[in-house]
Amino acid sequence: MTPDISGFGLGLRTDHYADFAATADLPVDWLEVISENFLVPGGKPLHFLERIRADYPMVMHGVSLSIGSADVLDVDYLGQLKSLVDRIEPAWISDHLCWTGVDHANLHDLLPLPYTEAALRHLEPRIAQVQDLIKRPLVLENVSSYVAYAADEMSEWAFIAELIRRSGCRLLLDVNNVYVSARNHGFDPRCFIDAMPAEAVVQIHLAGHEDHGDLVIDTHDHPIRDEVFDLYAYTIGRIGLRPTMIERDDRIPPLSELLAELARVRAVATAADDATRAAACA
Amino acid sequence: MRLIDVQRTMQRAITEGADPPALLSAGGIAVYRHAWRARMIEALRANYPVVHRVLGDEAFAELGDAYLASHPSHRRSIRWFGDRLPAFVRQDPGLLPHPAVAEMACFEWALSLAFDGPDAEPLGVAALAALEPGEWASLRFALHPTCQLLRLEWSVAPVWRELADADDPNHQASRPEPLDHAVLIWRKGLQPSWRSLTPLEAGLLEGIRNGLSFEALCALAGDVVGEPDAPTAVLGFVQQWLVDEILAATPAADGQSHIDSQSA
Repeated sequence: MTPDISGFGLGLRTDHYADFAATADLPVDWLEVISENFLVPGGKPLHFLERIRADYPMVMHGVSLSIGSADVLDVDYLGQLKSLVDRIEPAWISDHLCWTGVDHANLHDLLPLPYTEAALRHLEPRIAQVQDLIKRPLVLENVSSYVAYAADEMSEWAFIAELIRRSGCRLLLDVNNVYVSARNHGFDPRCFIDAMPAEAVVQIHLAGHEDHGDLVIDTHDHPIRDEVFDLYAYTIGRIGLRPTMIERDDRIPPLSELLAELARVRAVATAADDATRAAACA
Repeated sequence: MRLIDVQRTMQRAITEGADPPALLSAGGIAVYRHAWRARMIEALRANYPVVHRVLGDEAFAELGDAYLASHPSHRRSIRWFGDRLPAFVRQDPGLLPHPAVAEMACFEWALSLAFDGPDAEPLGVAALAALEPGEWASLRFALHPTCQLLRLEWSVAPVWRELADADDPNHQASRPEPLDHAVLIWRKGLQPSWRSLTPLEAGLLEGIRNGLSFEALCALAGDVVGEPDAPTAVLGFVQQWLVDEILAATPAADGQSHIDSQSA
């Protein structure tokens, strides 16, 4: 059985292994682990993963599924992923709605798909293949993007909503990515949020970015910016409370700093939810 | 345009700098190009931190670019990027300022393999104490699966330690000396470890890897220390290997020659 997850989490990073291993009751409701970091034979990563898993609920987040690639899915990778799922029993397994390479190359980046009917038809059986293996809905995350394809036939939000309808996958809604892409492509991020089927959203990511004016880059190396907090509050107002976490991948601060930031996330979410409930009663 | 053609064009635009005509309606392709190269070189640096220190940022990035061009990543996890760097630099020594740096790369990759290589229960002294005297001759040990024996021509390990421990990133290390020797790299507990070996110890460990029995190991040692002292010499090494967790308790697959992990 996998545990239900609610509340507010953090991405588990090596800098904080010792903190989580030493203390079972830090104010973090759950942890997200990068699946690929633990697809290794043994040693310290798996040692700490199992030690920390004993005290904290976990979700698994992958970066290499490449669900949108024109290549066939890598069954060896899927097998390793399934073994890790069996080992740590995460509440759910997510990856990105993207491709990472073609012709068996891996650029180790999360590249956007063209938003076309052909891409939807390509994705649907591949998501089914993964869901058959992991015996539960696959959770996919919207990525940030810096290009748009001439071939696009619909908006990103229409594409995602239609994919969820056809495949039964769930959504990891990265609010920072919505903000970054909205700025880079000139759309209203609230249109994106409004189009998401609330019942399909199982998790929310928040992160920091770099703002260069005409270009916003999703760097995960800064605290969450106020404008992303505002969009997060809007999101909670639209879809209700969802398990939310901070993704910090570079310039990792001491855990105490992330816990303080997580307290702010908790406060913003609670206030937004309370305001929605009060408005509904009025 | 088919999905595969869109992706091939985009991939070439990122990795080869090719212009993606008509592919894009909005252009931040440079962001992907820059991020790809930076990410791959950073991954290489993470696997070869001391080679990076020896070469410095600029020369290491040049090496990274050359490696990336000839060995683009095909693995699912970026952790494995750089697995062929030691062979790559041996093939083209002109890429490096000193031949010892190629051995340094080999040494660092072996350390990284020891870091997250397979777990195994170390052989315990109790398993040996439980053996009947008649069982020793045919006894075969097993090495911990992270054990790697490197044959080196330069004294790279002390230089590696000096640079790995130096707080100053611009620390000038001593020049490695020519030295034909063997180094063992393995993981003790959770900690990657290494030490230089005498020719006899290296020969014995290779013997274990090749499946030699205790009796055959003694014959090997006898050539160096003389037959009468050979069992004592081998037992001396075994004691050290137990302390260092170099031997693994293995299931008694063939029923007699290995030591049963249950008794460890």
